[in-house]
Amino acid sequence: MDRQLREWAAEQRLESAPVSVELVLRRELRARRWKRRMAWTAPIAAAAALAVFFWPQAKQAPAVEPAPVAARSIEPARELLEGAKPAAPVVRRVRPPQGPAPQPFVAVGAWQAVEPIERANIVRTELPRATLARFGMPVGAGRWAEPAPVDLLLGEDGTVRAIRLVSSIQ
Amino acid sequence: MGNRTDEELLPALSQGDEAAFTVVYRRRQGAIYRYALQMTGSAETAAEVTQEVFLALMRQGGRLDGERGTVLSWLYAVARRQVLKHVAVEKRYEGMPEDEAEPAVDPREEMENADLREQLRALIPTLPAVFREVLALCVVEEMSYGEAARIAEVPEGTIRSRLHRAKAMLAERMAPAVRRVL
Repeated sequence: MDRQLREWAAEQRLESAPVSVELVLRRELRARRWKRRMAWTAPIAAAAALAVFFWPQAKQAPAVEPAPVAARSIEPARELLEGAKPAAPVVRRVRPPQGPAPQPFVAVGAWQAVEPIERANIVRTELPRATLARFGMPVGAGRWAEPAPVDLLLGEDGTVRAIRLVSSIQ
Repeated sequence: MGNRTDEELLPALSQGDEAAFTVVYRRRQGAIYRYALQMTGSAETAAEVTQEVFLALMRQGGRLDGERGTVLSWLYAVARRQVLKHVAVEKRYEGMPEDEAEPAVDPREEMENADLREQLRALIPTLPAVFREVLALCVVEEMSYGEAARIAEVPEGTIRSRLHRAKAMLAERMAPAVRRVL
């Protein structure tokens, strides 16, 4: 009996998982690694891209001082996040960095009309005041090229959904 | 990297290091797959269990403490849970008394002309899961009673007696063929 069992065991030891299992697992590992990397690089990349895009335009400040934009264009961030009912998604609010009390978020471009955000990240950065004025932020006259601290609300895909001033600009 | 133990590879594993994962996978997949194969009797389910076990390692590898136990015993523990899930679904494990092992079809009749090894191969899957488990761990993987006991979560003495009973049951069922050969 022992001899037969040993032979049977030796035969069994030749068994191993199909190669497809290893392929599936390695693919999954790469996907997980990519997701993990994107989780922290996407917001930074988005903020950097936005800053690079707007900075040169800010340096060419308008010759004529624009009138301060009325507060009617400012949408509170809560509306953007929670959006239309009844399918209210779960919103993971990210605590912004410590600092001066922020103002409400202003939705950017086409995102004013889209569905609510399921998950968002907030990144603090600086943008030229001229850029902020273009978004309808209540910035004062002068010093158009000077940067002002803002919070960018980034969607899951890393695109900027809304902006808010960190403190009121004189 | 291939010279490092599983426990030494844990930090790299928790960082999602593909090379470290591949080393551990290639080193351990066979044992896990064979264990699942013996327990479920299905190559497809065994592959599924193996995949689940290593996915769990991917997810929880960073939380493993190499000081508290080996990676292999953790893998077996996960495999065991997965296997029990499958076996419970098939109603082949839970509720089956250890001493009840009569298969639905008497293999003695079907195997009249088969050789001993063939008979053994046909008889082992008919044993209750607890006996298949002890054969997989102690005979196929050549584990000590202590190691097998930790994985099966039973005392060492139970492993010893299960192995003895498994062999006795096989010998009893093989008896007609043995008699013919002798």
